[in-house]
Amino acid sequence: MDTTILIVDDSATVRKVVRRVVKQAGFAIDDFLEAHHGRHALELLADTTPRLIITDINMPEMNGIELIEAVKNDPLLCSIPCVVISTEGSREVIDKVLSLGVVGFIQKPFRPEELAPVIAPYLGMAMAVADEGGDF
Amino acid sequence: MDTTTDPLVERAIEAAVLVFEESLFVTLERVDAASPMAGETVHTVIAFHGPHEALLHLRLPWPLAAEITADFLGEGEPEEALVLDACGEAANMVAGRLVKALSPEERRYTLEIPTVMVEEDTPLAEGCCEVSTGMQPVHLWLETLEPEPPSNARG
Repeated sequence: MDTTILIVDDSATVRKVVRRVVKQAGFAIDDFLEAHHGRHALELLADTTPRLIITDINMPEMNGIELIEAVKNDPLLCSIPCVVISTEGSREVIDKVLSLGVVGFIQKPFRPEELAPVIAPYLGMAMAVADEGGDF
Repeated sequence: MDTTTDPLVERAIEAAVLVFEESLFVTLERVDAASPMAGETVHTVIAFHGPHEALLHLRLPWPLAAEITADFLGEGEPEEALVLDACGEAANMVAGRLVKALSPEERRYTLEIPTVMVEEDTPLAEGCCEVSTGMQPVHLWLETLEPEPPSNARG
């Protein structure tokens, strides 16, 4: 499987920032897919199986909770880990997304160093050797 | 109501100062009295719901909005659509920081999707507070939402 990450957020700014943060963290990513809401993400998922989905919650058309529910209910997609990055911070919503089996919940605004440890376990060998001159 | 002394407004200003400093790389300082903004501005509105129900308004002069967008993305001069998008996200982060501060443990607030408008030579809104980069102003105010009447009140 290629190391593709699907970033779902209605803000193009956030999609760009997340993409940059992932790259700067040293992960070797083959491709980034971007969707501006949940329905758009599902259309992309019909053709591609990404290694990881990073999604917002509050989006038009189909929100992040509905997207995660759809992914987890699809036998072909249910094993894709999902990470939520959102300003949405209500206890009810956090509990709901955690109950759906997301592997991480990061509240915006977030620091770049918060994201890498959450996504690293699900990118496996995609973690590039970014050690500059370090020992092996 | 003098919103400049409203504790909720003060919390919103604190949230904005923190978000602008930590995420948008802009230091803001409180200004005693707000002045109307001339020229093109970007006005973002986001609703939050919980123990307080309100609209948070954030208005930036266009040059500051463009500068913040460029710095946030680490790119050159951004397209207009991206400036509007970044301002929406800035308001989203300010509102997120505000409601987290208002209910850090119980987390009783939800947010709506922000709306963003470009306006020109806008008058000062009621209850508007101003913070400043030293060169450019940022306006912030809250608009309390009235609770919806019971459905049977419509007769």
